Amino acid sequence: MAQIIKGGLMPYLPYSILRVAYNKLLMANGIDLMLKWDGQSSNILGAGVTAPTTASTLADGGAGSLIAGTYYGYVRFVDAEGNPSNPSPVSAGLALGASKQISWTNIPVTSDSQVVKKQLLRNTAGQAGTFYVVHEMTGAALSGTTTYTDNVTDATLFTKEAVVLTDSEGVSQVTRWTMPPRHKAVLAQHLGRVFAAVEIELSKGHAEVTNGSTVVNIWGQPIPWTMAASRQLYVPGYPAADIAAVSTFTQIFLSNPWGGTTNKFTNYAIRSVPAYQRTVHWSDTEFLEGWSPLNAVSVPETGGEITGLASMGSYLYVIEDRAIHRFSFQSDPASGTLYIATYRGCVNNRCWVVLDESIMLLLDRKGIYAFDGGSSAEPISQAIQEVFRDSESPYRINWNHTTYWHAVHYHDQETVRWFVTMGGGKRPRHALCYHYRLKRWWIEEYAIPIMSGCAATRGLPQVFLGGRSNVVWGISFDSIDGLDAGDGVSGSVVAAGKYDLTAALDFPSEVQSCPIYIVDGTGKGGWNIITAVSGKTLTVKYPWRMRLDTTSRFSVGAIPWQWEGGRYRWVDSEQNARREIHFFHEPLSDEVGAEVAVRSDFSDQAEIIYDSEFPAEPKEFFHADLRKTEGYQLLRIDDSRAQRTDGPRIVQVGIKGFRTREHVRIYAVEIDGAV
Amino acid sequence: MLVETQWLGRFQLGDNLPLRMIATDSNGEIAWPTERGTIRIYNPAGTLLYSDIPYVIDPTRIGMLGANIRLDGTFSTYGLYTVWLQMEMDASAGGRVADAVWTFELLPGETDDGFIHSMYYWSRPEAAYVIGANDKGYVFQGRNPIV
Repeated sequence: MAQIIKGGLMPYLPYSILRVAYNKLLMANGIDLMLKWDGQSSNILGAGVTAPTTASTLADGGAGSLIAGTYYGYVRFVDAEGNPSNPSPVSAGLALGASKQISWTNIPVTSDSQVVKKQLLRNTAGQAGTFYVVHEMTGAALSGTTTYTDNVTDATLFTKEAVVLTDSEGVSQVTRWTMPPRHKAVLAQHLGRVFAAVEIELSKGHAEVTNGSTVVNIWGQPIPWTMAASRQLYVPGYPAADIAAVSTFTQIFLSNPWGGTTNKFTNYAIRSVPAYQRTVHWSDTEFLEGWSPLNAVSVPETGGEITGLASMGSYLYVIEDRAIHRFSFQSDPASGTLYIATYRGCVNNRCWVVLDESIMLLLDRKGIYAFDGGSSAEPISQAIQEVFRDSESPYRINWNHTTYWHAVHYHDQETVRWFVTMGGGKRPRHALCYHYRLKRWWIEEYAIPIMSGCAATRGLPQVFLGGRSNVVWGISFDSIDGLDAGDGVSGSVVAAGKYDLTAALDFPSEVQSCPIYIVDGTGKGGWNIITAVSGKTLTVKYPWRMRLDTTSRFSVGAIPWQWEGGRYRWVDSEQNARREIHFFHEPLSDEVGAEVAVRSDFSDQAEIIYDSEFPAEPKEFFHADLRKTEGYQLLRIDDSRAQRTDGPRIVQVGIKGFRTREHVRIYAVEIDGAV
Repeated sequence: MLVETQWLGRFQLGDNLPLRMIATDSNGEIAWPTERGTIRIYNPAGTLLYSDIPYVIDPTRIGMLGANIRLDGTFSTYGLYTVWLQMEMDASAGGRVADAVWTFELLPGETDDGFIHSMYYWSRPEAAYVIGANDKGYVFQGRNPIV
């Protein structure tokens, strides 16, 4: 049973999830706060700690033990893991005489539940680069105590925790523990740091702008309250307008009144300010939740959009939609270099996989290719290139909806699957599958959208796919996991209506939400989704396209499959020539069988076949009974063609069927009489 | 004024309800409305359940408004729902109200969690976890203890 550990997030933005330590996951979506989870607690927390925003006041506290000097004070908050916030604004300097103590007032308070300690930091006399934790407050003092009497001598202070706020080169470190950037949607880990990149643009629906008003209403796009204000509103034909604040989920305030014309239905986009749009940020090495705003590099402009980050080998790769940059550095990314590795890219950060740490497979607008990390981008999708083009292929990619595309590597199968949208769908229901050792391609179609996946690494390699209603599916488990063949998951239809089907046996309740296929008889090839189970009757979501009858046979969780061979030329012969199609298969116990279709020349129509099993019923296919123990099927279609006369010259064979409870294995297909 | 009711289909919790309307002015020309419209959804009992503002669906097509309404826990009753979208056109010319009415059926069988759009597998000493995020804006974890 899934346990909810966080709610109230932007509902439709995919998360980039990264394990950064043995006990920490970070999650980012480019809009909400970066999140962290330790794998133990029942709640996900925000990463980073919010810093105090007000300075404390230091004053002469009367007689004490401190030596003369100028003293400054900071306050910072610390969470349960020891992650500190940035220090507060510095107090005004206090020039203290000898033998005095310091009175602290206006110490910031916090009601942040993640904060467990409040630390007061002070320097020693004579220097202001290193500060020390002079005092810690916990418990009720976090929100209640605003004063402290400081009589800690320098000798004692030296034994306390030191906090370097100005390093040996004079560079300020006060921003070292800045909260992670909320406006970056993709995370990657490389050489001990976490990197973040990729902007999210909000542009659904429309905006209402009114001349002279700072109020802008946004309809069709929820605006998160926590969205950072360092964003701008873009309206076609007008300069970008700075956003001051978010008022409600549907309303923002501009920094300045809208100077353009009033428009109730204008296109718009909300994006980060230009300075942030092409930046890659990185964390501190010691505090992975500390992201100084100085730790960032701007990626050179290429005319594309940054879509992802990938760590492979010694390099970090900044991926765009049409290019990949190699980010090379030794220990400090600030002294690193970025240069173009290749002019192929990736459509988003979820459509690449790394094989054996040396080859990356990526999907972009041109197809799928292999990138070796150098400058070589070798196309590998030539066999299925039609799906990437604006062609008449029924399997044509819909490039308008790429947000949920993703790839998953099933190591055991040596297969990578890219889940993409095809046809009119907005969510991916098809997978482009590539067996990288055999270099074979095929397409899988799923009954419901598959918008996410992950590879498990414990024990036997396994791939999990994200379904709906928090159900996670595993590839290559049984098609009906946990149910036996005799549990009523397949059989003949006894009665059927527009939205239901009745069988002879009770259906197990577990088949609810499963797909169901008609594998034989009237309505063969039809499928549906089971919405309810009541004894021997199923209710389905969609109307049956053909009225089912008692000849109809169903199978819950069946997987239709289809194979199409290449085109071969019949050998010319004036006499009746032997022409045979035969294939070898694993014998099955299932009676569903397979259909063999023969097409001539370049026709889409199958040839009429007089099946010896059904001689009076010419069909467009030959029925192969896969229960035959010899595992061999033969179809004879002897023919002849006089030279220089018309007749079939080209032959193509297709086989299709359903996998029910057993794997279907066809080992070889041979065509005698063709070359 | 009679408005033809159109059938949207059968949906379950977690599905998106697609509403599409092209607005036209009094001359029959495609045009933007003069004011915000309203979307109202009535449950099988006829009670107003949901109200919202239609928005631009395709910015390249003048007058194409509608909504993609996520069927969340607000829709707690299974059965036939009625959707009414109304917009005001040509207010300066005396006003004309454009209406569209749809019906759809809500079926049982799914929850309003919607689809899982993000997943991560994490193997820890005490258990293997799958952490995921769904359409509802929730993050969840599934746990398989190591025995």
